[in-house]
Amino acid sequence: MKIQKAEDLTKVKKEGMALLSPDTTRITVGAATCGLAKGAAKVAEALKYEIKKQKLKAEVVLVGCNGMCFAEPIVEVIKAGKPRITYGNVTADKVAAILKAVSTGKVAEDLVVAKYDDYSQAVCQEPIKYAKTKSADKKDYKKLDFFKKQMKIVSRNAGTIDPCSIAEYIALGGYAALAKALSGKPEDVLKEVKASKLRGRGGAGFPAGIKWEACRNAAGDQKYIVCNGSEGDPEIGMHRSFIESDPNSVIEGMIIAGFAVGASAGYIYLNDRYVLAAERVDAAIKAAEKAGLLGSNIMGSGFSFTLKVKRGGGAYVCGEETALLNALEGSFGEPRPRPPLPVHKGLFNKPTVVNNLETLANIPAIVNHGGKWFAGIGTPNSKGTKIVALTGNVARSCWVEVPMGTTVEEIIETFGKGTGTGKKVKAFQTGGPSGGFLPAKNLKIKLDYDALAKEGSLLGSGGLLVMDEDADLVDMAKFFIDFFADESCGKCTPCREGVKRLQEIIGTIAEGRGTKEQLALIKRMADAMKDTAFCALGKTAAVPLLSLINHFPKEVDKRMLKKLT
Amino acid sequence: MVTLTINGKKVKAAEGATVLEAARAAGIAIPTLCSNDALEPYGACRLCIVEIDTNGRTTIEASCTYPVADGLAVKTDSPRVIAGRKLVIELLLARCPNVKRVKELAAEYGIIDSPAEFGKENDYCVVCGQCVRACNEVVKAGAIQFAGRGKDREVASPFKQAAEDCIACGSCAFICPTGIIKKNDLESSQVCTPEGCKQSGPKRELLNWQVDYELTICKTCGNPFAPAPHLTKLTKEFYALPQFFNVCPSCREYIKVDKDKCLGCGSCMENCPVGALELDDKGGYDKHAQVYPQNCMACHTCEIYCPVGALS
Amino acid sequence: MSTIYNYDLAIVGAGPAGLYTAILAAKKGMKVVLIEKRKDISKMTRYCSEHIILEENYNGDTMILEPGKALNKKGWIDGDSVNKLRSAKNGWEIEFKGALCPTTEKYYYSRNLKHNAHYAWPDRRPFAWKYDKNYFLQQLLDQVLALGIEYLTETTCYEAVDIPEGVTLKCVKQGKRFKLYAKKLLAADGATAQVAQSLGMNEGRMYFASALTLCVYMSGVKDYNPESWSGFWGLCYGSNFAPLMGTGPAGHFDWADLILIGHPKQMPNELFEFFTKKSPVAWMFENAKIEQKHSCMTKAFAPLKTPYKGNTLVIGDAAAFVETQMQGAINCAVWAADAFEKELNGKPGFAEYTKKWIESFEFNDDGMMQVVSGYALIPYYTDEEVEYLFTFLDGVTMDGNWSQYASPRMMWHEIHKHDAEIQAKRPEVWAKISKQQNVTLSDSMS
Repeated sequence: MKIQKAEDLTKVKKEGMALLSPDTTRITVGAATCGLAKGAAKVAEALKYEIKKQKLKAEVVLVGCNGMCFAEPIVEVIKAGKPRITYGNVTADKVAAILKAVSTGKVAEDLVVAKYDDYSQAVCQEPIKYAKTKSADKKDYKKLDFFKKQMKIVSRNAGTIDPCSIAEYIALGGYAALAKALSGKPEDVLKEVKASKLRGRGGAGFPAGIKWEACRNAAGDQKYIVCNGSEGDPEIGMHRSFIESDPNSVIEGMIIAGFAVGASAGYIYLNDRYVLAAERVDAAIKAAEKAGLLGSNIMGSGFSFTLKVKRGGGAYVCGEETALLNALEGSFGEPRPRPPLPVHKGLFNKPTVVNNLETLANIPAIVNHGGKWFAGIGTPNSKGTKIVALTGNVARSCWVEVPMGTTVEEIIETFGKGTGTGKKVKAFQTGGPSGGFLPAKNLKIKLDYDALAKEGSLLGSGGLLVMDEDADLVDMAKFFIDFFADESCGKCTPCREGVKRLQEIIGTIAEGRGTKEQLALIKRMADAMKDTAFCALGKTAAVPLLSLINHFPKEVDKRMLKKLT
Repeated sequence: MVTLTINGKKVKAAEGATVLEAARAAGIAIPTLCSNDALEPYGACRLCIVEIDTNGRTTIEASCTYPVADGLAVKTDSPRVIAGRKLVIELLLARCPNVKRVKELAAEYGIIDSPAEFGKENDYCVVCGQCVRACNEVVKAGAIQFAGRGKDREVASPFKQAAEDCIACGSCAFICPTGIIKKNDLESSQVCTPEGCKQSGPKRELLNWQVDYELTICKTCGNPFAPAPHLTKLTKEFYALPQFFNVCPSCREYIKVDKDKCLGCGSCMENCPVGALELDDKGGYDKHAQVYPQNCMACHTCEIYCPVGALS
Repeated sequence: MSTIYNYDLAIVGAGPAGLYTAILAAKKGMKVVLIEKRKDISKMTRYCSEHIILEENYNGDTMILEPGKALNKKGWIDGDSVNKLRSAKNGWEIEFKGALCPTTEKYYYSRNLKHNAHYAWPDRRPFAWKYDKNYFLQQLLDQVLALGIEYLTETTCYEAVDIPEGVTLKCVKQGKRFKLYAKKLLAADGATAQVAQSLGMNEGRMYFASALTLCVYMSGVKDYNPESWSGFWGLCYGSNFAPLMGTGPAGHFDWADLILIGHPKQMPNELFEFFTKKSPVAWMFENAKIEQKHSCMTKAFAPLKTPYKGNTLVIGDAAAFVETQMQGAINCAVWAADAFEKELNGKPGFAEYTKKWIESFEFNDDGMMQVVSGYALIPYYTDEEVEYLFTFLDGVTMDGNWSQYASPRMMWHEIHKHDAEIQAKRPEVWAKISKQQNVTLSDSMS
């Protein structure tokens, strides 16, 4: 139905709630790319087959990812009158047992991962009520650290709702923020975003409110909002998982952004590999258009906004905002000089706000609950939460959302449950290859833009790569330099030639032919490249090697035949 | 106008100028490789970097792309800048040890050789992009572009085959700072195919793009002067009469003014699409049209529009 | 290389339209640069007629001229007179010094001067005044310079490039090319409309002909009356375009101003030779002496109905069907200055200008173009047929008027009183008259 006023949202909410907590049985399968990679499609097929065979009154719904990648494929059973049950590590052969338990009213306890009697993310979301769990049940999700220690603002809906159902999104409070924003003035939205002190979640950490204000004040007859969904860091995919699970939160954030700055059109730029994400976002856009939430005169406010999804060519450098704009315009993915800033001359030379996917997904919550509420979460200089993808030597690989200020150690222990290899953590990396390696003595470092920058690393887009004592850091460093060499656009001398030479150097070190002079040269190159390279890729390309030398000199030494004096 | 300081010296510059332009106008030298007055700033070589202090915040920026602003404090030779520039030169030297311009820069900065730890190549292209930019921005033929990413970035014709859109004007060869792009004008040559060999007239080769075209011969002096595609493009863009390019620039006749007939009405000047005619206006009624041959395309528009037939 | 649109307004052409817009724009606080191809604008390049036209609602306005002095013994006003020219509709007033000569009679002669259409007021009050345009322009320029407006002479703008951020003007001065950058552009470069041409704005305009014009001032012309304006209709006089004879220039109102309009296939020099030596009026020039010669070329385009594009507004002759006259150009300037003020503040000034442009000028009315074609007597009608039709005008003096749209209307109005007779006695002429509305302007101008 077309949503023309706030009251219409209420009607759709009812529809959506009926889907989320139905009279019949709803069985969801976590079907983001990660789940699908582990066989979720087969499980869904098996479920459908068994349901038909057992003549059960049940509906199979494909949902997104709840972050428990270590327990995929995930199947959840929501039966009227029963608590919501999450089953993990479900394979096709286990489906029959689960369904048998459903029909008899019992639970297949050995597979249970979590149980819910309600689902609500404090302050952020409308609660869904299920039936009560037994109070002593230790699988109650409110008792599980995995959920207890998270603060799911951005990812509140992921894994619960059908990403292709706008009704389910609205049921849990979706588009209420848009209605609220449109009923007021753009300046009011700007005020809240500024008060929230939300910083860009893509890596640079620039305050979103200041960027939006600059764009609003820029002269131009046409303005744009661009969502940076390129997620180029090689080891992570949580933005992909997230947008496959809840595309509407990004869409809502972009429409509000458009309203606040005076932009009438937006683009969601996705990494070329994110095929499923592109499909789901596209479907969500079409559904939103049909509902009148995109297009002209949204909810009778007079504000019009259109959105398009664009898949990029897959280059890492196109995560850099000006290279992204070039790619969107159809020319080379190479960066442009700044100034002028994109907020003044961006896409097609018009004022443009380029924000990371996660930054935009924070906007609905900020509008609903106020900038002051948001600024109450996190550390003095890093507000709100951060989605972190935990990977590498961890027992449980997953993605979670924690308040800023959470320490790396906490994340690894609570969510990852340690290295899982019996060995201790030797090094970790945040922010992708540009973050370099930090040693175990830094494990208590807080997730905070400034704290990490001070150590020569960065928060980046939220990857956290853990390496245990057995990890070969020289090989890791070489891997990252090779990555930069592949991804350098080649425009500027320091990056094109510098990374090439660094690649040669780490190659000889890895082969055991390293020299002391090379180490000194790496340090000199790191400084000079930081100053002279055109964009952040070149500026930080030497960091893997630099951090290796600075923090793990013994390891480097061991690799070289000659001993360092 | 804005006022900034460069190396402690107060410099005035027009709004919209770059730091590089302001510095050069003030007589302060900054080395460049990819910068050219005829082209839009690109910022690729990173030689022109300077240290800029804005309200206490110091950053290193490329002066060729950075716009001037009131109160900027620029240092063109600070230790950080020199260290950065030296690395850039070392990197260029490792790639192009035999390019004259690179050797000059190395000598200027006291660099004898690129670091021993660097691999050594013997390339002659410094990937400055001037050829690509000239072809696309100025000539607008779009025959060559960058291909490949990172260390594989190179200038090429589409699919590295004969550049179809090349008009063999030679602008790329002219602008290339290393001389690796070569424009060869040959007197005559033999063209051999499996069917046999035949003699062709004077031609121009741009082997870098696998292009060769016969050169048009001047009907007056018989010398070869320009390739046909180049002339076709000029004819179209400047409304020239087709026969205008039958003769070379030295032999070409341009519009002449018969001063006895000319009444100085200025109609010719008004209608000239390329601004080649002006009024030699000494005041009073004594004025005549005068031609600037270097701008004239002999399209004959003025001739048609002269009320008294003073132009031929 | 780096461009910055540092002028608010660039004006190409220091004619009345350009000069007056510059003055008003500068007074409104805009940063203006005025570009002019000539070194010395007081020596004009278009001498066809320098008249202030008084008829009511001529091109949407009525001019009120107050000469500063009385007529002298010769019947005109001396050069030191301080005169006032006022617009009844658009509220401007210009004070200017200079000589004035009244025009009280207009004649259109048929072949051999046998018959004529005669226009004059019964009390012989002037319906137009010859004025000193050179001096007038110089006085406007003095105001421009007094306001400190940047004024570039000997500078031709041969091409303009218009993008949303502003306009780049490609200019040349003494062979050297350079560029100017402005936020907005006023193309007031006259009937050649070269700036409009470079912006592609002439593409929709029908191009009728290039009128190559020769103006010759001659002393000692017999039967020359400085207070009259005459046109000679007939191939016997040498061309499709009637040679015209008007008042001489200020300081020499006693010289006749002979205007010959030709085209590349029939050059005006040839027409002059024929008219003064071989035509039925050659006797007028037996003892005449050529005092000065001037020439100009006018492109006859259909008017620009949408005289703006992007950041550029085209006004005056550059957007007109041939000419707006000085008074029309001043009106354009007044509206243009307002338009630019609005546009620079993000308001739709150009659309408002266009409304006034369309409403005011007769040539913008499609019907008018047809009326003008009714002026196309030659060669549609033979010399004899014109003579026949003009017999119906014997003894008739129509109201004094200048307008080339009103004059044929009045003339045909008189002739049509005799339709029955024409139909009966000269059916072949009547046939031509009936088909007259199908005669296009192009036909007459080819």
